[in-house]
Amino acid sequence: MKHNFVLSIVTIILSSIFLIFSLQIPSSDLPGQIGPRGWPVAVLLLMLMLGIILLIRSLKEKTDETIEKSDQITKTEIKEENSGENVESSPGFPRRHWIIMGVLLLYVFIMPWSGFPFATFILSLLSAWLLGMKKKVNIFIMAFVSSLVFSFIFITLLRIPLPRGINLFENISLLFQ
Amino acid sequence: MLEGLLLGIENIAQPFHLLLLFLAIAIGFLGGATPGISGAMLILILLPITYGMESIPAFLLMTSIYAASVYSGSISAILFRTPGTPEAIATVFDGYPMAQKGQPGKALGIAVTSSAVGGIVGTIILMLLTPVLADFALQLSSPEYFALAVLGLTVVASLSDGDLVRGLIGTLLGILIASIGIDPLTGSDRFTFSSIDLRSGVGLVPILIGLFAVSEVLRKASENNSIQQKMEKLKIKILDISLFRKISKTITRSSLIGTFVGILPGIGATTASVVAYSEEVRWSKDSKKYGTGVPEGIAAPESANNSAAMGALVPLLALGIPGSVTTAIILGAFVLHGLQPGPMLLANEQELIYTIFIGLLIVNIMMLFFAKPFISMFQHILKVPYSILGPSILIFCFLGTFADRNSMFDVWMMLLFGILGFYLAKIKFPVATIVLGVVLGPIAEEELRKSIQIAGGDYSIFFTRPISAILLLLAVVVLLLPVIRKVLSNKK
Repeated sequence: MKHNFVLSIVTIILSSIFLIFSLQIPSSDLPGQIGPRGWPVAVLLLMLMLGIILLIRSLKEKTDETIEKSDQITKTEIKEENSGENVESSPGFPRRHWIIMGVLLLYVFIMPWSGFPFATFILSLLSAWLLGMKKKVNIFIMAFVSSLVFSFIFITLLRIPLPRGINLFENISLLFQ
Repeated sequence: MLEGLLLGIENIAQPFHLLLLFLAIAIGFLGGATPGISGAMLILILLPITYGMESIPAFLLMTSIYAASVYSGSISAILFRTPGTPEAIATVFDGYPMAQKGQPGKALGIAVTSSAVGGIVGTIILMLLTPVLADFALQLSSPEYFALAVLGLTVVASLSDGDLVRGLIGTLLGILIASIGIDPLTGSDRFTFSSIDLRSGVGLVPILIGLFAVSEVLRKASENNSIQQKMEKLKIKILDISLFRKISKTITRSSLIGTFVGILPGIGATTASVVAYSEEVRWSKDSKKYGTGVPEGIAAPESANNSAAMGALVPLLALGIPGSVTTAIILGAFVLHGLQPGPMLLANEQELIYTIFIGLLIVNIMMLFFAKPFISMFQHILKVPYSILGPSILIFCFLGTFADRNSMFDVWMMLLFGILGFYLAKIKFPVATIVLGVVLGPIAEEELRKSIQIAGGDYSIFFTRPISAILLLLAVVVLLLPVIRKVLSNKK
């Protein structure tokens, strides 16, 4: 399976890198005792071993006829999923999950400067649009209400010290005291 | 004891205490069902409010919220694949697939009934056997805790959709993630890469929310809305007698496992639900059906986490050792109220302890009646389009992660685990094994090293103590079971 091959390579690389870094961790001074290095090294060696086993297995499987069949099934499943998406929803963005991930990254990135209320307004606005809300007025109202309600509950009522932002954005955040 | 129980009943019967109990149920249920708001968070928020209260109403409120939040964590786990509380992780495994099949009402009914029975069983056992169970927990030491954690890890690894290698990789990855930060025994840095944030380790909350909630919103964004349409048409049935008969053995077994695991200090309801689920899979004649939406897969973790939540109060009240994160917060609340949990608390504050027990029993019984209208209310959320629900869940994900430690670093971690969870779910990797490694790994490591320290470097300590020897033997059998089965089937 292609997935197992990728997974095995990632496991081998990850465990190898961490094994190198584990050399920086001090080991126990006392004989027979397990120091801070012992446990992670044991875990990483096991991971490396399992990664190699998975790699050998996936390489063996590649030559098998059965895998070809399962690949065909997977392809059929993907086709079915895609056709379902076309029937049930109209996303407008073929890879909108990655765009939403990008919006989330933007949300967290701008939070320290823009503060929670404004960043939440932007997140709601963009993600509601990406998830299929069509009317611009509805998107705007939804984003505004979301930001207002969440800020009121979590800043004013629950007193969670959420990022307030800087300059103008800080003034907006300070409306919720 | 009888005198204490009567005092407890008398206290609960007071109108103010009854009102407080109902309020606690509402707050706990609402908080537990909402992703990102855990019972621990609710108790933390309410702690300043309880300063002005007498100890009995204060602890009645806090412990009842604790019980109610564990209860309702399953609702969002089943409906949105987002555990409302960490204790509901294992409920996702079968609860969500059942909801996806178009049976969310049935899944919720099983969860509520199992939770109620588990909670009642746990509370009754507590009331009757608190001193005995506390004595038993006192006898256990590091080798036994290590053996128990190993057993848990091996069981989990065999829960890997028939692919042990991938399951073990997941578990080991979880253990590796948990080892990041300052070593608890020596204070040495491990994989911190000179980052101050990494020194305190990767929190469980960002891992959970990322792997289960963020990845789910991403998955939803890439798929259709047909399930949502199916859910709207269905009704909830709390007590389905024929179904209850079918899963009664599972509930009984899991309630007992949950209570036992819950009593062990430091382990808690999250581990209990996972262990109970794993046990259910292990003893099932058809283990492959688990993860596809079977009733037993919901009943086992739900009865176990509720009974364990009650069990976790035993070491807290009898020994002064918290059984979980939430009970650790309750321990702090006791100290703030000038009380020191431990053997002396039982002797000096009998009225308070038994009022708490009676309160917990009532909460667990009341849940059976309150659950249906509450879930019906909660179900209205399903009618909300995903273009509204999705952004709200994402904001809750942010809030839940940030509020845990007031850390933006945790939020970045949540996003990282969100991407990881999305990709792993796509390749059908058993994501739950990572979480289980994160939960059980630190316990296993700490107890292993403590045991070796106690024994002066003698590794035979695990085999000379009967309980740890039996548990480790069981772990070996469990790990080898798939291989033995394969060999036997090949011979046939």
